[in-house]
Amino acid sequence: MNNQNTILKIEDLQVHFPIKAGITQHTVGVIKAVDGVSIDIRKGETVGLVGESGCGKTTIGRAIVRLNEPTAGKIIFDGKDDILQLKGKELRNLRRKLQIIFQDPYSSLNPRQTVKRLLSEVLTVQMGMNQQQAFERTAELLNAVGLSPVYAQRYPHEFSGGQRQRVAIAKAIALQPEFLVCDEAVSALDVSIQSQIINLLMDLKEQFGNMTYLFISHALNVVEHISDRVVVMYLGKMMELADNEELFNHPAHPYTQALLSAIPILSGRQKRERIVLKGEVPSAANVPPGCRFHTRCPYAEERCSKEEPDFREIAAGHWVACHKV
Amino acid sequence: MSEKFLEVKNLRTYFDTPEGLVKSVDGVSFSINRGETLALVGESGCGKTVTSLSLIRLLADTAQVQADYMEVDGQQILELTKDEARKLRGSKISMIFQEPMTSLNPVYRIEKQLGEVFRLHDPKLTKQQVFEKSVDILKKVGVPNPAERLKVYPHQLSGGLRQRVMIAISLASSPQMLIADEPTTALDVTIQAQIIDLLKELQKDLNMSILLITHDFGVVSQIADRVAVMYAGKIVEEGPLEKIFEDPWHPYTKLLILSIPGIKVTRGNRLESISGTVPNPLHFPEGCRFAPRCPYAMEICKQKPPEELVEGDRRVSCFLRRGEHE
Amino acid sequence: MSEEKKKENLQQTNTPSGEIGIEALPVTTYWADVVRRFRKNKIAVVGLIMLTIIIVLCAGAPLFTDYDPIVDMNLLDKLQPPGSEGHMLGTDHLGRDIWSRLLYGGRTSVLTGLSVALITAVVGVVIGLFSGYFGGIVEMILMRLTDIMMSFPFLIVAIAIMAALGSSQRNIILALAIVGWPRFARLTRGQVLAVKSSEYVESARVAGFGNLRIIFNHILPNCMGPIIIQATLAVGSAILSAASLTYLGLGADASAPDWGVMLSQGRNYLQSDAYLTIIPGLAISITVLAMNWIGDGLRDAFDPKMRK
Repeated sequence: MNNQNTILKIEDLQVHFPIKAGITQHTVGVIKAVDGVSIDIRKGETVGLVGESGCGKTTIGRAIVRLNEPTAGKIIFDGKDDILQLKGKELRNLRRKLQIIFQDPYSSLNPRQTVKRLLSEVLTVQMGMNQQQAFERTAELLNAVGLSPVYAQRYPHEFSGGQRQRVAIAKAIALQPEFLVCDEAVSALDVSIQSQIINLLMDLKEQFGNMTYLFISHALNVVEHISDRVVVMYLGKMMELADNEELFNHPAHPYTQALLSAIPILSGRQKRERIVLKGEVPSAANVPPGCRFHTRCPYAEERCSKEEPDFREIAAGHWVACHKV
Repeated sequence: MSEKFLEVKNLRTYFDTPEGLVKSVDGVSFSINRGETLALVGESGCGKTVTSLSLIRLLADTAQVQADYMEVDGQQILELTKDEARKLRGSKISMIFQEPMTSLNPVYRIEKQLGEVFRLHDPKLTKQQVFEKSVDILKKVGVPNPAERLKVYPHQLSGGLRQRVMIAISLASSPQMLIADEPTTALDVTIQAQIIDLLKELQKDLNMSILLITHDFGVVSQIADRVAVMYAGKIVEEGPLEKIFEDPWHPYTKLLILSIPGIKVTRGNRLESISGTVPNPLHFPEGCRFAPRCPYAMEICKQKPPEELVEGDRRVSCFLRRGEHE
Repeated sequence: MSEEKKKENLQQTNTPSGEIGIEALPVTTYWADVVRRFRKNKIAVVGLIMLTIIIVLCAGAPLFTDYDPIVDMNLLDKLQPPGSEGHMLGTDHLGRDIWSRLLYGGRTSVLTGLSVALITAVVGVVIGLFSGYFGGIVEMILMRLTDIMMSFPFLIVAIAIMAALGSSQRNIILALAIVGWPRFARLTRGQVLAVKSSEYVESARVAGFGNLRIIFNHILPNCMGPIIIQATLAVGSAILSAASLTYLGLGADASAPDWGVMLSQGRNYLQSDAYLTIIPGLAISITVLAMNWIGDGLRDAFDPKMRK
């Protein structure tokens, strides 16, 4: 899997959160939000990360931008540093290159800053521009995300949800990042607005050359539309990884198959057999032994509850963690 | 064919605000047969939720609800007194909401919240009978270990179970119609599939009508018989599910379907998007309300609102389909 | 309508390329916006004018009265009611002119009130910001310290401090500031904890901004509302606390004019000559009222959502 073009290499990433209880706040358990994830992300590609709530997909995105502290593992950016080891000034300098867009455009913008001030702060402080340059750049950025620069004087609450998400995107790309984490970036938006933002993200990629996206979402149809490769996660582990077409046409893991069967199909594509999984996702504080999916898997057998399956390559670039494949 | 359970004609719900009159729902007509599912689809602010709340008279007194005609099972809804309206909600029509956490009371056990409905319905029930009925209904909605679950508080349940409990509570009054307002939006994909299956099963068993309110075409495609698309307080198009999806007549419906990835647009291709935003309900456009955002808008669209065109089991409000130009 | 017009104006300033030049937009800083919003709030402006008048009258006291507030005693003229000849607000039990005592007294009282509020607010807010933002050991130490401070009855602590430092107006301010800041620290820390986990603060961290910039540019402005209200309330309570200390003989010289002292001395004559109490009481009330109006205006001015 070692590729020269790798921009971000995640090695055996683990993020565990202690559960504390009592007056003494002693640790009574561990939530294994991310429990050993390794993946190479190539420069310029869009990797979709799908899974249900609690599968650890958001935790991975936040670990990449250093918003939480992993328990173990490495994240190597651009073949050089393990970004998890950086501190202070080094970390602040690197941060610019790895940006994140959050789900909720109502809470991701400082309510006390106008758009102009918000962008010029980023541009002057982090990009070393003077006021004049910052203003010119602000206008360019607003145009790039499809907003009239007339809006620069407004406060976030004066925008609609879609417009706010555009502002958040402008803020992220102002730093000319090389890697952009989109954490459910379109999930909170209305259908017609959602498509505007998806189109915008795809356009920006071309326009700003070689940005790499990690697109985290629970909406499979959105991920299918935008991604080059897709990772399916369940309870903190990768279940399947493949090229977009391969994954959607030949899903190998039973969990992936179940997820795919829930995508709305209306016309133009073959009807898939609808698989409705029993039960709910177990707690990440109490991960089932063996294959962590066996409690809900329609094909589970004795072995699945005892041995944890390896993450194996079953075809070129198609990786699966399942005994039955 | 089958008998109409609910019929609404020209429903108008206005709110008087300091800024002016907000016409949230402005002339909406539809009907639902027994055992049928009608999906009311639209984006936020289109008036779909206000429509459903008007039906069961759950709006604040500031709302002005008018209609030419609004009948449920032979009863005129607008003529009901407050007390009668409450009885209607308790017996014939029930409602489930998007967020099961906020629609369950966090300080009472499930047992109490569920039992309350049974007792309201039949005050003579003994404790034991209420308990048995509660267990039965939780079993019916697929809650495992129902007797134990009755003893817990809402926060101790997962999202999917909470929604099941909500459905149980709404079924406790054995309603003939269920209004489901975004019932699966807050849930995970695999849980969504479970809840949709449950609703379908229950509908078959109880011959219940469902009014599904949603923005999610995926959910619509899995459960609805007919679809009504709402935009800016009006129904712009209505018809059977397959026909609406295969051949949408109204440009808004068409663009909406084309803007969802994976339904008709394949990977890598550009999604259709509707430029601009939903109009301000204080100042709706003069003519067709969609005209300012419509790529096919003609001169006439800006001048007067289109009349409804009925063809077979479909109807649409669009000049383009009517073939009128000037 | 005005919004439309604004847009039109902006469009006329288009750059030759046909795009709207963002440079053409007026450059406003956050503080300029705050001032603009404050000025739109009529009640707040009235409050500010009232406070200004009070300060001018007190600061320029000799210009507005011929009497000395301490030396000019005249027992023959004592307890004259307001409106009597030569004494517009009457005289006290020692025959001193109340108007003059009010003006000179305001120097002490208003100064004490404002400076105590300012010092406690600044110290408390900074401590609250840092302990809330950094958490961990910093927070532990700072918050336990405030717990200890708050667990003592504040007057007792103030008395102890005064006893140690000696009596003077400066020491009153110091003592009240020492007992007053934990309240602000608590309040601010609570606000910070709520704001700290918001996505816009996280996004500022991801942008690589330094801690100080995040604390003062992104967190503090979003905590200002309750802090300002607390600060305006602190002005009034500081004036009254200073009076209590003076009454206990720990303040400055009891013969020195001070609204609190006037209030407590007047109590002995409450039934016969109520004006002795009412006048300084009114002075305190009017000051506190002006402060509250200013505070309300400031709170709204700090919040862009109030922009109409």
